[in-house]
Amino acid sequence: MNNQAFDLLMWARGPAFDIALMIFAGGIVLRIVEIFVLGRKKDLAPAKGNPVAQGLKTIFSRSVPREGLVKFAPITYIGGYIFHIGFFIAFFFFAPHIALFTDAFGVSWPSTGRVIVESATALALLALIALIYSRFTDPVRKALTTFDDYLVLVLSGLPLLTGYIAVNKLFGDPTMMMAFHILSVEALMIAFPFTKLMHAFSFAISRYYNGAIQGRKGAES
Amino acid sequence: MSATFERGLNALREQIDAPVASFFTSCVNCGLCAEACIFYRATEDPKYIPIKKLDLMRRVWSREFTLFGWIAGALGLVKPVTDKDFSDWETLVYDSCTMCGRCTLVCPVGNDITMMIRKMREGMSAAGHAPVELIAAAGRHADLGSPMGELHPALHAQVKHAIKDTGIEIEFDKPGVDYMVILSAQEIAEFPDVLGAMAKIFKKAGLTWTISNEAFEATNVGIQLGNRDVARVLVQRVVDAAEKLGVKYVISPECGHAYQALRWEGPNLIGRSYKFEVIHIIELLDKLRAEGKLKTKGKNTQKLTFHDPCQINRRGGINGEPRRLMNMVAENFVETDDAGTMNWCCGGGGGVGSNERAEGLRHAAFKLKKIQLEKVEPEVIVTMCAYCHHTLDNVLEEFNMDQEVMGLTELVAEYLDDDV
Ligand code: SF4
Ligand code: SF4
Repeated sequence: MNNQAFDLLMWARGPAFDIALMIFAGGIVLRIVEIFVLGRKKDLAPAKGNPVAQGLKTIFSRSVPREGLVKFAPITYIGGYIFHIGFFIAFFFFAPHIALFTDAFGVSWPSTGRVIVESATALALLALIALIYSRFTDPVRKALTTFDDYLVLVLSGLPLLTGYIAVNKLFGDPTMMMAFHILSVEALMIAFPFTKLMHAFSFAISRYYNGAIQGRKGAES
Repeated sequence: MSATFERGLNALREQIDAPVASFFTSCVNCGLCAEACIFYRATEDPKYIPIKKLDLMRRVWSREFTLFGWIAGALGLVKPVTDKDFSDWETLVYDSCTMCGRCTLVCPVGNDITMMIRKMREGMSAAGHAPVELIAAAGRHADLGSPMGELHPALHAQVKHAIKDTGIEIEFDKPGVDYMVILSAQEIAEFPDVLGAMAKIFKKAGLTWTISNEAFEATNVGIQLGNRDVARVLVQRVVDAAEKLGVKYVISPECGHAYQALRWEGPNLIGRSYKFEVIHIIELLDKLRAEGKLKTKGKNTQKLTFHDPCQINRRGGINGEPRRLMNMVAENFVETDDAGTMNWCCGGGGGVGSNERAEGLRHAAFKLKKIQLEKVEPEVIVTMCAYCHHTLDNVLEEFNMDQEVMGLTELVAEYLDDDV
């Protein structure tokens, strides 16, 4: 075993992870607090619908696109779904990942087979490439894209890529690859509060508000 | 730095609340809002991507309401907002947005972009960067009672006309009645037949009602311009008149933004709830229908379709009501694609219709509505907003389309059962 690689792995799993976790958790709390401290005035118009119920419903229902819209931005919609679902499966249903959660929190759940996890990883990576491509070529995506968008796409792809390589021992020293994998996850965690990755938490808040505002009026959301 | 610019920036800051912060935090720059927007879809110009219309507000939020943005600002890493930014954004915020609300319904993270445009206009108008027509209309409204100027003589003439036509007495300023009717300036000036229609329906249903000389006009240019002070004064006028008369209900007329102003924004503008209820005329008609107080006879046999006004359906929550009424009086009622909640805007809402500079864009934006109409080929387009009616009349003529447009209240009144 290569000592250097082993040391890096140990550092990545130890102090580096602690630092990343601190920035990740602290940053997210800060960003969420930044939202809620601004508050919201009480709405004095008598409600026609139920804002709370519709707000909660919209957190879920907005995951489904409006009829007829997918065809106008197929890469964004389909690529987006494949990426999110693929990443989710690879992250939460890979047995070694579940073991980490069990170690840390004492919880566990059934894993899925290697084939599913690896296919999900590969598909998520392909979807990411398609999403990057559309940011270069599609006029709407191009007009909106900032450095942040590319950074986030790359940072989300690296853990998938390094994980895939490490697990399949495709090339390089497996210990080193595992260290890279963990470091790439930590990079993602550190960038999280500073970038639009925040949407992974804040989407629930914004969807809730959207549903509540519309729901109060008895309008659809 | 002028005082006006400072006022604009302050007004903008005041508008930033938790929902706005959550929306900007959540935006993933996916651009899906573009596909919903009438202006982007008609022109395919990326500058009309809805969320881009809010860039200025997003910058103020990021720099002043987030720690990282604040640090970046202090280090001089981000450009501060300037008066030039306000003037650059004026056409985007006023000419290329009818506040139709479609983007709000498609954003995957749930951003209420439309609400933010409404808020951003508060900053724009305070900074002195708003269309001259809206500013002038606000002046006329505050001084003369309506965005079209003094409408008292016209109203009285129309009421006289309606009394003669229907033989039903219409009384002004009558205390102790249940309902106070207010009208949109557009109805008084262009579509006064609605008065006779209401008189007939209300008589049959046994409602008691009146019109106030002090507040008979429902529109509210303050919410199109984005000026809470103007909006408050106009709402207060209606509230004072209604509470003085002691009515139980104020009937919001066939006017989209008037409903938005009086029903949803009003109590928040004046800082208290009303001592009466606001009911939209179409809500009322549907209620009367359900109670068996609105009886019709016979049906219209022409091919009819329905145009949903954005502020009444998508942003107002009135969707099933007009459809139940349509089915009651129309034999051949055909819905267009996207009808109901996702209907396409007429192109004239949100102050765009009175903004001369926006005329070209407004005509371009009619493309989507045109596609809807061409597929159904209706003889008559029924709607429940006098301003949609006005906009559609004009644009149909512009495009040599020969459909007739008509208000739903009038259509229902035509089929009132005279025997009961
Ligand atoms: S659809 Fe929503 S998340 Fe996507 S760019 Fe528009 S505002 Fe942002
Ligand atoms: S409210 Fe309507 S017009 Fe305005 S940006 Fe959204 S979709 Fe476009």
